[in-house]
Amino acid sequence: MLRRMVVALSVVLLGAAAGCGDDEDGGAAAPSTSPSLSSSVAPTTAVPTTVPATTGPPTTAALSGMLTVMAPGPFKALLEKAKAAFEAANPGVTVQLNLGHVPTLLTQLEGGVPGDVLVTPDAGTMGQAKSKGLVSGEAIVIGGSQMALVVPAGNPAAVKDVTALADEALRVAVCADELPCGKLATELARKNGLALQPDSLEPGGSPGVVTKASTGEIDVGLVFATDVAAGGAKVEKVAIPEAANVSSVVSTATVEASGNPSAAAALVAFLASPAGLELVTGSGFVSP
Amino acid sequence: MTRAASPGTRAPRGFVAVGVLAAAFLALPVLGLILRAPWGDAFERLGRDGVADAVRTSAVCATASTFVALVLGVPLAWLLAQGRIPGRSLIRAIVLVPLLLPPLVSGIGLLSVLGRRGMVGRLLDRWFGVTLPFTTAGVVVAVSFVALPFVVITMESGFRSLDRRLGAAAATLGADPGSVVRTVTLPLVAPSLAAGTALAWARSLGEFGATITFAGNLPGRTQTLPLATFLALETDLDQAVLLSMLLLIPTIVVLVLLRDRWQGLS
Repeated sequence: MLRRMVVALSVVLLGAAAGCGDDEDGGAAAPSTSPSLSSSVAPTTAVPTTVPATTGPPTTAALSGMLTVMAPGPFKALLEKAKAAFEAANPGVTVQLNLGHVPTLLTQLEGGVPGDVLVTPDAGTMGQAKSKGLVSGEAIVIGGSQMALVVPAGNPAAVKDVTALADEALRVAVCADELPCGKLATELARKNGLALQPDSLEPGGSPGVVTKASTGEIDVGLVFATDVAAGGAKVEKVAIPEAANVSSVVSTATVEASGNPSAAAALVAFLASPAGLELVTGSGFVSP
Repeated sequence: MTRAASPGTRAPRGFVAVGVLAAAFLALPVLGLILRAPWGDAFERLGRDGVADAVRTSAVCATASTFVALVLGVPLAWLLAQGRIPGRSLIRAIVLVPLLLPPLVSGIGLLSVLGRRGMVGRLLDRWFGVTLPFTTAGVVVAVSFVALPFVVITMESGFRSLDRRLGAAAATLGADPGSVVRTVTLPLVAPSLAAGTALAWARSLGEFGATITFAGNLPGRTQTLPLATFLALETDLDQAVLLSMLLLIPTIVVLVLLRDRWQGLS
């Protein structure tokens, strides 16, 4: 009985999902097939042999359809710029951003949420995605993310350097160990011989730590340098010198289960192109 | 006890089918979780670092928050039910706010009042050297905020359905307002009280958003089971599913037991 109910329900759900897919494909694909170049060219040039024109050019078909980019929340500004540039160059394509917590993105992909391009903030996450077979082809490195200290505006605890993270008298937050920025926190502690004294291991990651600084709950936190700006005027950045700092590798790849692999590959290639990399470095990431 | 279906209570056409669909819609994801849980190595997994701490923190905080919600919620529900207070509909709307707000935002609201720089929190810090964020007490505060509406709503409807003449009779016989509530009103609303308590406790046990915003996450101090589950999602989906069983099973057992108890009462 239960078994039959499960089967019945999954049939309904699958049917609904398939229906959605058909709609999107059909709607988006229509414009790319309707305008026929040959018909508009043929009369004006009046070439008698229209055979080459009707057989058409090889496979430079315009990209079309929907493209979903799965990326961490802090990549929003960068990806919105990339979306605008990519859509301008490929009028048939609509890019939508599915921004979220990194591990949630992987869980979503594993659970079959439709995505086309994955952007990860560190090599570990991309490695996980690869070993789970969630992405196809080569992951392309598009930049790097460095760490910085975030303090409430005015730096009330007069934080100068990373040793503040090991000061028991201060309120300290770093990312939870399970997150990319948490792994970097551990790496930074090791590199500098520090025993971190966190009051909170933020499950919300780097943006969560910035929030804690902007509300003044912490004296100092360790975050991705690119995330500090989200705190606005309520926080300040204390830079970490190169010698004491650590960084992670930002990369992108097409999703194995992508329903629009050619457009996905084109977006990945765009991000790795000089124009794409300019957007990456313009958004505060370091060049690869 | 057995209530025979009278002709007037026959289900309208379609209700049975829709009802079954609704129940299946709620039950199947739970069933999916149960089937998916890694029961084979459950013992090893539950013995891992941090699990016992998270269970203890959750049990302590959910119980304490339920207690806080009852102490604060029952008097407010009584006042709302009596209908003599000004601005009653505004207060009722405010009671619903924690249900509407994303809990993460509720946490920000709490920080703005009780945080280290909050309106009240600043004074607590200056006068007593007490700050709530990043403490177990902070978890209790965050969870109580989210659980309180369940007590107020359930109890208000309980108080309203009372026959007020009983309380009036007790008062005529010389009982003061406090003992009327204690000896007459509360026993009569016991089923509502049980329902409110159970809902508040279940909500407390599952609270996540307000806790992470207001109290942070430190194993052994502020890391509750939902936080541990969320973090397990990052590395080990099976572990996350198993931890969610620790939330699910006690809640379902308590609710089923209580349900039988209520029916026994009525």
